[in-house]
Amino acid sequence: MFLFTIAISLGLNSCSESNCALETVPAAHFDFLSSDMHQPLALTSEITVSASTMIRDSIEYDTIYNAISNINSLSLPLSYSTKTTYIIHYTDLLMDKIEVTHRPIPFVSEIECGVLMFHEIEDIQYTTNALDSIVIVNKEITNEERTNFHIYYTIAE
Amino acid sequence: MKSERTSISIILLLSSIFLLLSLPVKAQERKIRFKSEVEKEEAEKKLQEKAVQKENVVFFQGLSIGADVSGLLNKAFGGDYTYGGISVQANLKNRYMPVVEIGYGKIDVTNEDTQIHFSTAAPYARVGMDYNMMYKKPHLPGYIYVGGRIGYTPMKYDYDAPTLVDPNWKDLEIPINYHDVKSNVTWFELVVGLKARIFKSFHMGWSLRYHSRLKMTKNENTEPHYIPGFGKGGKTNFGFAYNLIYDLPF
Repeated sequence: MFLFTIAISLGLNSCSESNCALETVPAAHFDFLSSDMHQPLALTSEITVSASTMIRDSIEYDTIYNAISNINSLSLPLSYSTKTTYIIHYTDLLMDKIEVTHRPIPFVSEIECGVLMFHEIEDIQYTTNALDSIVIVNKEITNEERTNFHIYYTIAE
Repeated sequence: MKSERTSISIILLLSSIFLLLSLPVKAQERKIRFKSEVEKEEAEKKLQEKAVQKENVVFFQGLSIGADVSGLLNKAFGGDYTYGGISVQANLKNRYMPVVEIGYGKIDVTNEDTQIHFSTAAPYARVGMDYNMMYKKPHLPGYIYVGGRIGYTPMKYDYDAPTLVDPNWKDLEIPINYHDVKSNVTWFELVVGLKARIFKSFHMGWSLRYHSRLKMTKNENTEPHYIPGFGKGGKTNFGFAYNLIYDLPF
């Protein structure tokens, strides 16, 4: 009975160990939609996406995507500061700047899984050189893959 | 005179013959009646016995105290948390067993891979009832039971982790230290277990428990890695209790 108790006890302990989330670096998810029909669309031309953030009074840049084409969504990391700026380069001369204001929220629930960085979207500012508008559809950026923004473009005839 | 005596003798003889002939008939009638009513009589008898038994079942059949030692075994055999608890249980009609369990759970652990440290030490309480599945067999030295509990703990916990470095902009760092985070947790338990007498008034028992978290004070940055009385792991988990029990002599 004693051995049985130990076996059960240890067995149940091992059963209770949780699985860590596969998505360890939460990102902002942008879906591309057509302005008129609100239907998903793909950007056929090559784009490059860079991101920047303010670190101790200086701006640091990082290239996230380089010359990618035929995409219908983007997953972009947010910085651990409160503002992240993305630049989408459509051509050498055509680009849009998207500035996301957010609140970083460190989150820990399992010591095996490490600390995750969630964010709450507070505001978004953008230029409209190629895109038409951006709508926030979900303010919470967590390790669950959910669309946070809709970017609307006008489809060329 | 002789003829009178003769006629009396004849009457007596005839009466005897009639009696002799009638006896088996009566016996047969009785037998037939017995056969036809035996089931009814037995059923009535059983009902009466049950009614008497019901009347005789004492409502309050005693109190017992128990100690849950599974948490101590868990720590001794390599688990990272420990807990211990005592319980007081009443026996009503040898069928309903209301119970109160009070305990204390403790953990102080650092994960070697992530270097995240978590600690808490808090009391917990459970209130509920067991149902003796074998209440019709009080002569047996043990019984199997099912039951339910509502559990509660008012806990505080600490998290410490290495400074979080932004994976893209390396100069951005955020320290991770959360101390004395308060959280009140309520949960429900389904219990199935076994209790057996080992010596006179001493019993032992074990139970498997399914925990389901009902309510927890939300904290934006953390969720407890371990909840005293509930255990580890998300909104549901399984637990185990091994109790040593003593029937109080009143």
